[in-house]
Amino acid sequence: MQNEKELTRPQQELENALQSLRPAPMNIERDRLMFRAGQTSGRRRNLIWPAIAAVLAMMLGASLVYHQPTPPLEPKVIQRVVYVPVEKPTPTITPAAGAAIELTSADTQRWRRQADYFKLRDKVLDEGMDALPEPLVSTGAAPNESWEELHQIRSLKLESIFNEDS
Amino acid sequence: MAAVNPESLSRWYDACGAQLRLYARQWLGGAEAQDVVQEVFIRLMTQPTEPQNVKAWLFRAVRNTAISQLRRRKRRQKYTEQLALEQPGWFEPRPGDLIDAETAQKVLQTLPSEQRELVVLRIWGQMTLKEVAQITDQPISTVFSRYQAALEAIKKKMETSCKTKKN
Repeated sequence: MQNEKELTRPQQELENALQSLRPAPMNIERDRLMFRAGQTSGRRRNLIWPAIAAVLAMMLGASLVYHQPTPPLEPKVIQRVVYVPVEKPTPTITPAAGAAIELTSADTQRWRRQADYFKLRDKVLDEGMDALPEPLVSTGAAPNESWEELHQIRSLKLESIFNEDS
Repeated sequence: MAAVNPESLSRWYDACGAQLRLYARQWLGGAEAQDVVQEVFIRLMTQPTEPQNVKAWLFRAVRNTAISQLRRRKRRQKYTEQLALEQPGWFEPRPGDLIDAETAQKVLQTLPSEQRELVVLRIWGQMTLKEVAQITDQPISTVFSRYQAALEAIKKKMETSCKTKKN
């Protein structure tokens, strides 16, 4: 026993004398005690599966109660081919890809004259023959051809150009 | 640690059963003390793991269960305690006993309950001072001083009892 040395000798002798007494035996039926102990232990161990089932049931109930709203459906994209009539593009003179363009004064004048011509043509197409400008009056010698003839020639030229475009 | 198996339970029953019943007699009568001990052994079997100190666990469980049962009958507490103490059969008389069993029981009955509990735990429960302190929730120094006081009281009363018998 702990701290045995702190007890006096008489106290130790008394301790030994008392220890010689044997407590009265138990009257419990040993076999019955073992049976009851095993029965109680088995009953306790069988609670594991019911506990698991209860937890799963609670989780199911919680998921049904706290049901998250479904997100809105995304619009379905349907692709279809639609043929749209497109006007024939106007041919334009474009330099070759990667080619270096060197403009001279003669080239510039030619481009300008062509641009003026197309502008006049578009104007005539929109407004009619009246859109043609008045002929220039020369200060010098009289023209070889009459203004009316020149006007006719110009009209014919324009018609021929219109026919080419169509 | 694994749960207590039936073989282990049987060994502890053989080793501590009688001492546990004697300990429960501090608060309850013979039959009630027996029921408490039986209940504690069944409870030990249902523990998920075997306690580290099974003996200390048993004594503490008997103490708590006996005190709880006693508190349930508060109106007759004094009467029940007195009745428990007066019932014979704490010890099994044998020819080789150094002290008369009946005399020892009477002397123990006169001790205060706190001292009597310590004597039973130390001498018949074979518990260390540290284990007794854990079971009774008291400091070790308090346990030892009370135990010494109890031994002195027993010695005086035994001497008085012997003188009375001689006379």
